[in-house]
Amino acid sequence: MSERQDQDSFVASTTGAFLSSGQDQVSARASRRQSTRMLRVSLLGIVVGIAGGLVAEGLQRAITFISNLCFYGKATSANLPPSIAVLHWWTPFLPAAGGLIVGILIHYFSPEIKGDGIPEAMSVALNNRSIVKARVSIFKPLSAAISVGSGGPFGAEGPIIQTGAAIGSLLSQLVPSSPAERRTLLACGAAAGLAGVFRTPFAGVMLAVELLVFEFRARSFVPIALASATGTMVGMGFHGADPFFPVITNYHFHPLELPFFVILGVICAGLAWLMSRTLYLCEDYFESLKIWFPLVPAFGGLIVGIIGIFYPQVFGTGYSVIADILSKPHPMHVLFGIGVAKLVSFGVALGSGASGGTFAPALMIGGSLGAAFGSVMHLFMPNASTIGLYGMVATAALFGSLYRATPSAILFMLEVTGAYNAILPVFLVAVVADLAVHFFMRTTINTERLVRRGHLVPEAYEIDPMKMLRVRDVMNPEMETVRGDQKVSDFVVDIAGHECVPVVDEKERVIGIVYRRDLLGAAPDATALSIAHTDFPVAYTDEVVHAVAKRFLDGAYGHCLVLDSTNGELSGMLTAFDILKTKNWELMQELQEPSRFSGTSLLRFMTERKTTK
Amino acid sequence: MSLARSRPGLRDPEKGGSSTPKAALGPTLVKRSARDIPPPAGFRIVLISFLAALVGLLAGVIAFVLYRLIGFFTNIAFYHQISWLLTSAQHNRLGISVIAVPVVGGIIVGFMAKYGSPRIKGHGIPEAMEAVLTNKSKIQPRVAILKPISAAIAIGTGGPFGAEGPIIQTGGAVGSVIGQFLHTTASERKVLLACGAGAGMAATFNTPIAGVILAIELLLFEFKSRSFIPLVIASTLATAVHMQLLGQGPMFVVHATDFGIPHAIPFYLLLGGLCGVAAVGFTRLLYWTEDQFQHLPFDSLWWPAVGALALGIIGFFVPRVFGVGYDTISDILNGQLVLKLLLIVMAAKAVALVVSLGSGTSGGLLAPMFMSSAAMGCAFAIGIDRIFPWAHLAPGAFAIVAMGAVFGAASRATFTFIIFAFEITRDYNSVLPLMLVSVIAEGIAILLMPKATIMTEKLARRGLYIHQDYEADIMQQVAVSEMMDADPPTVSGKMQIGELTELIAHHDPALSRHQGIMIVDDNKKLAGIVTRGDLLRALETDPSGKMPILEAGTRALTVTYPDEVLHTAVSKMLRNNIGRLPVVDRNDEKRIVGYIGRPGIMAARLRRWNEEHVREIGWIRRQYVK
Repeated sequence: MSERQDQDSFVASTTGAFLSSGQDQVSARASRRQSTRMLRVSLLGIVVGIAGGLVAEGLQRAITFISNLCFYGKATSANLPPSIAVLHWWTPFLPAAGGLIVGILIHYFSPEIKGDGIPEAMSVALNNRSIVKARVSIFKPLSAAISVGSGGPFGAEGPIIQTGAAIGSLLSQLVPSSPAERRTLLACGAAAGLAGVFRTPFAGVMLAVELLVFEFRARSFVPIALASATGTMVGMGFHGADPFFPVITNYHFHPLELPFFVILGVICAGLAWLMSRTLYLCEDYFESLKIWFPLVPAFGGLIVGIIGIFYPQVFGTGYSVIADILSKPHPMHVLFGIGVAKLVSFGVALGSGASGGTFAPALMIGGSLGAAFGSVMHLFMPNASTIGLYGMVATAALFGSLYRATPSAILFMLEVTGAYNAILPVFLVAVVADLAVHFFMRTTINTERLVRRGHLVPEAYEIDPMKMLRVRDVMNPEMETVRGDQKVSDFVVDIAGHECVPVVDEKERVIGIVYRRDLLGAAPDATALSIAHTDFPVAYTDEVVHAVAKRFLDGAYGHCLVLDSTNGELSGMLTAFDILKTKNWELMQELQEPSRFSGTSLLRFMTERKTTK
Repeated sequence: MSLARSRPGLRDPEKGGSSTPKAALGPTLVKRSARDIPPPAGFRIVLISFLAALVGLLAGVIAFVLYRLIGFFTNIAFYHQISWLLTSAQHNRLGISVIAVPVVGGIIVGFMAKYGSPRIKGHGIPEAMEAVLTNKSKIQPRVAILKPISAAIAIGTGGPFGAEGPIIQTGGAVGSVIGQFLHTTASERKVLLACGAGAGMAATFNTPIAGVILAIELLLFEFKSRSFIPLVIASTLATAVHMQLLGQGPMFVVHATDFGIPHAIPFYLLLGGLCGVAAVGFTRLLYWTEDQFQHLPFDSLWWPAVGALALGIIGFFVPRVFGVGYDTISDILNGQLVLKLLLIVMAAKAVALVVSLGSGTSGGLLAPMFMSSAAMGCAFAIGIDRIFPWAHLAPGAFAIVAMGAVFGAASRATFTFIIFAFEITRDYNSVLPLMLVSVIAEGIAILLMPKATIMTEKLARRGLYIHQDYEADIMQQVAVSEMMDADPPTVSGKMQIGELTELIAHHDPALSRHQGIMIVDDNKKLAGIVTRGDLLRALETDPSGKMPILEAGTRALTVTYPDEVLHTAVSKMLRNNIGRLPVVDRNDEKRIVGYIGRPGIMAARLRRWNEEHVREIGWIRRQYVK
């Protein structure tokens, strides 16, 4: 209601009444409203953070419970890794059975639980006004627990992120909320889920910012940080504050290692491409199969089971395997074997449509192949850094280039290993991989799915110049005016280029506006005043362009007069085109300019002479 | 005849107009006619990454040199000896004559600012921001020389500043100058400038991540991988240089402290509120002091000397306020000072800082604010422990947390300073309290001071409003096909202009919808476009109205395709200075698919607006609303 009134105060009447004080009130009211909203979203964010942390814990327990039941025949949630369980004849069939059940769940109950979870959360945030269906929050964790617990080579993070996002979205649907607020809470849930599993508050925040909220600003950062911190606290409440993957990094700055780090970075970018390709190739192949859908994930599960006979490390999330690889040295061929086996089984199983995360497989593939690279290195340089460091660095690089979320990957790896002293190699390898992956692929493993559905996913955030620039920066200060008593035939040629002109009285005060449309039908001897419109929109020089743009859209007009905000005098015209010109600010940033040094100043002088001729 | 003719070229705003734009942003936008703009150049990420490596190394060296210079001036001014080692000024034996030392420094800095470059005044970061936003990231090379020297003199003669602000500005200047040596775009220079600044931060405190995030939050105005990669490279190398020249460890040596999770959480929440209020109070105090100097009856040349006089008097009683005070900060972080001393240091440093910085000398804001806020956090913990002896709060932990939170809230670069404080301690247990306290402090600072921060207030007073919310560009997300008019009105090229004018004047519903109308030939293929302006002009040359439309309109067309993103379409409009584009089939450029005008493009923004501001009814209230 009040918004309506705010709008009205910007349409001036014939006198061009000066309403700047009203404008100040509006902006003050708006900023207060925004602050209280942020407070509310922040409080909800804490609730979502607790819920997300609990969900993360619950899902992890469910996975270990099912996994223990399957591989050990014990109904406990103690942490027994499936990789060292005794192999029975039925072991290879466990993932197949899990795949079958998940396939039935997907086919008959909820199709959106298929796959990783992060692309679905992104898609909802981008295109579905952040409204997640309630059933997702039940079926996603259930399907992930069955799929991973029965030995599927996935992580729990993708599902936890999707479930956390679903909870955030559901909670925000309970109360009146705008899509932007829902998106923030959705990201809160996702951040809390990730932070709850790995106890990595920074990475939770950063990943939510990079993948889900599509903005980097205080109003979403504050709630997400709160949720992430709360989620971490919940996680720490269950497991203590020790790092998730402790790594021994005897890292000393050694210049000779530098080129190898660069090579490793490029290899990791290649691996990211390979993982993404494998997944989508498998997916395309399985989609072309025309059989009853639940059989497809079962078939994928069977292949995983067969691979698991030779490399049981591929079963399940493999957190214990990753921790082992990062903290202890292993023979090179074992590391290499684990990496390749995990890569193949991951591609086949996830491509067949099961439900599980891409995150843990990426960690294992990166960790094992990076460690393998490290052991090759040790052949040449016996006193190089530890193999665990290479594994860690490669993990960060692979995760960063796979999701194209390098900042998150760096923070994640540092937090999850607690090895701050490895910051420099992690930084270096991760950005080299990030740089290299731009040449390998245009989409990421997450956005590929959305791009295939025809959505554009934003990759970069920047300031909106419309919200930074003021009306006086873009308006056209020099405009034609006509006097109220002038005849149409006298001024029609002069103003043909303008869509409208202000009509002023002898004291240069605005009394009306004439549109080009009116001139087409006007008699040549009519006075300007007789055809002028006396109600016309105005803007003030100090207003933010964004606010004026909104009024343009609401009022469906294309131009308005600009009045000075201090004294109310006519200072210019603003058209829709001028508003679009704010984009120019962005475009001008991308123009190449000649260097101001060296001999080019002479060159510039000469070219300027030429153009003036 | 080109379409551009339908609009006169933009005029130079300097030539008149009833109001002259106050902000420097205006002219850069309007001065160039949009037609002069060549096609945008690509961002050369590999080249910039290599340059960033160079900038990073230089920034590391600059940090080292500046430290040495500060040490040199401190030794000369307070101990009358020649030495390059960074020493603290608090143990000087000058007695009452210590008051004169800062005054001499203040006079020198005043002259340098007056006759060298006025850009060297202040704490560095706002100046770098201003260069990015209004000056296409061009900084004069002399700033890179004068800034560190002036800062070294100001700090060496007792100024209560940190070296980091000047290092950030100098690093930024070096990055910008390197960018100006080559043919670069403004955004490439901006990235190099930010690299220099981030590397400067990393090199000062040995905090590589915080350096990167500082540059993103305060200087880049974008969050993209094209700028992230060079930044990380610069920051990494600067840290490596720091490690080689100044040692491996963090700047402040902090002993392991118990952060008291979870039992201390309620007190952390309280501390968050306190930090938010402190941040706002401090910002207000700083700018209030700066305003008071404006009322002084003499030239700004002498202001630094006046500020320095006040500083000298404070320093005579509390010698700890002199200089960068890293040793004092270390003492506070390790909880080695008693309550009374903490309170004195907190107040004296804050007053000394606002007086001397408000007077317009050159020096960084970070270290002194760290000292004051750490003292505040420490005093808070000790005070709470006195009141609730069962709480067992570690003063050092609260000092670290407050240190990160206050500056984060004051500058709204919260994430930077959370990470910064973490990197200082390298203790993972600090992360949770840091995040909680900083975020709460930021929320409170936003409530109390929604518009400006300690960094932007100065620029806002000069008419430059800084907006630092990064969001995805809606125009990059929407394709032309979503926003175009899929059933646009067309006219046959053979129609006479008189007939069309008649139709528009009588508000024919289809034809008066758009400013421009597409002209088709007999096969319904696109032949041209005619605008109302074209009609008016044609009527002038041929008043009979018998001219065929095709002659009045434009045949050389700029077109767009349905699968293009709006951003590309807008760039085309702006480059050619036209307000509307025919949308044609990519395979057959004569087949009309739609029409997109300015309103269509603006409407894409309406979507975003609705997402932000239209609240939908929740399930809980649904039953009450029909």
